[in-house]
Amino acid sequence: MRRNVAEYTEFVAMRWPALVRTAYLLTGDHGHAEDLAQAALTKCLVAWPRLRAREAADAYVRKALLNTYISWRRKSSWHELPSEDPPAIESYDSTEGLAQRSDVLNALAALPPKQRAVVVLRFYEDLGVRDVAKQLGCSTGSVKRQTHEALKKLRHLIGDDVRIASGNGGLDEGSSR
Amino acid sequence: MSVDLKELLGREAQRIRPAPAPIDAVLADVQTRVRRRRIGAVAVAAAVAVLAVAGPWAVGWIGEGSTIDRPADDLPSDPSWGPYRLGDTIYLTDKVSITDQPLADQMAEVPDGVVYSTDTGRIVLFTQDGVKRQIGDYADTHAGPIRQRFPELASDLDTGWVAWMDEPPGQDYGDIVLYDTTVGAYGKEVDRLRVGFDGPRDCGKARIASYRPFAVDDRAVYYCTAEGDFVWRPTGADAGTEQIPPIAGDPTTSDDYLLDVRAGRQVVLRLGDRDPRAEIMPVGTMRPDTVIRGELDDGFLSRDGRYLAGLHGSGKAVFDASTGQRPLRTTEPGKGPVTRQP
Repeated sequence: MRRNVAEYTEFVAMRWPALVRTAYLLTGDHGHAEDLAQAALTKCLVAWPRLRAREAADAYVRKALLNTYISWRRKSSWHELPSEDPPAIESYDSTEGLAQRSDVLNALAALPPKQRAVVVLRFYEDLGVRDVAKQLGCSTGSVKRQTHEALKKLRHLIGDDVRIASGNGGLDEGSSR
Repeated sequence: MSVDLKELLGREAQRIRPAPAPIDAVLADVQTRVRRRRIGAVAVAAAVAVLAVAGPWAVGWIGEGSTIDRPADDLPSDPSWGPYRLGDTIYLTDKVSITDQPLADQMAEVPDGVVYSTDTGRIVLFTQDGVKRQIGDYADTHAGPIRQRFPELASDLDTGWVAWMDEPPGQDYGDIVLYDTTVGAYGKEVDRLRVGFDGPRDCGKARIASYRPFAVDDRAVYYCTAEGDFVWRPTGADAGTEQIPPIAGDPTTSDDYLLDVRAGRQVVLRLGDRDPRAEIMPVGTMRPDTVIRGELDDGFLSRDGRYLAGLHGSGKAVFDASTGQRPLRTTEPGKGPVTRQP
């Protein structure tokens, strides 16, 4: 057990910042993001003895994060309202950047939870369609549909000056990489 | 200048600086974890019948940005049902619902209106004469690893009682406040019960802590803590608190829990890995007279205890609490929305 805890502690220390950042894109709120990441890690610890391979732990905790996020959105009183006046962040260093940050968060907030998850997994986590389907427990066809719908909304919301094209999750909406 | 989505997301994610990993909190959380996903028994909230017929005050209360949805499928009409909430949608009648998340956050129906919480820490009584009056406070303490910003409200139409958890900032306890909305013009606080936060506050839900009242019935307040479920009777010969015997096994690790209590009937959810089900029985007994198979989320009993509603599978389901029969087919809440600008 002690060995398990030591391994788990190391895992948490490594994964925590990335998990929080993914959760932040899902929730749009730093506090919620840390809550969500912590809830996912708690579930992961319960399953830890079964997760022998590091890859299995990565996949498990990400899946726990997504499931918890969707569950909270569906069941709870959580609500996120698009803000016209997001708080300034010192590390964000350009006026243009602030405007774009606001746009992208507001646009994400307008998506249904599953579409938002698909966007984050494909365009931030850079996962392929099959991996996203596996993570969300749905078909690849569903992921493609969700991606298509989400991108259509994002293009509408963010504006034409934002290209939705990059890397593995970009223009190739129908890819089943 | 154009920027691609991946770059935007990456930049956005880098804006935050995560706090140190909460390893100790997670370890402590798991050790004594309350695994009871007590999802919402949030009893039937809502907007009173008057709201359903959209009196002038009601329309004002709905406010801008609300939408009224008409589910694609007809739901059974039953006067005992009243307004209710499932997920983020408040069903004012069987056919008319409001999707309004701030409203749906936490509300409780009382005889003369509705009590709700605001995001500024107030508990407000909104009566049918159109008056909103603050009747209490709650605090956003951020005391635990899981934040609680909106308290859950529980109420009883017979007595007009409503209960919520008030958490003083920085303390390791909270007070369950019991308020009688039927006394005087705007009601009166009946009593408070101090509850220590001795265990973890995570019950698997972001904003609803494990310490909270979840039902008021027959002059008793039912509340949960990390140590299990309790009933508080503030008045009468049997005044006091009493722990409800564990539904199954250790209450800190069990996936079984008391979901709701109404009209002398109670619902126990058993969500273990095998044979998830809801059991309905008279208060104070453990022998179910009705069993509903399958996993049920966010459920509650109708005012008279005759029906049990919840999210079942991917949609809403309503069951006859005495037979377990589902009187209507599963529907997707909010399907086919028709937007109306008030």
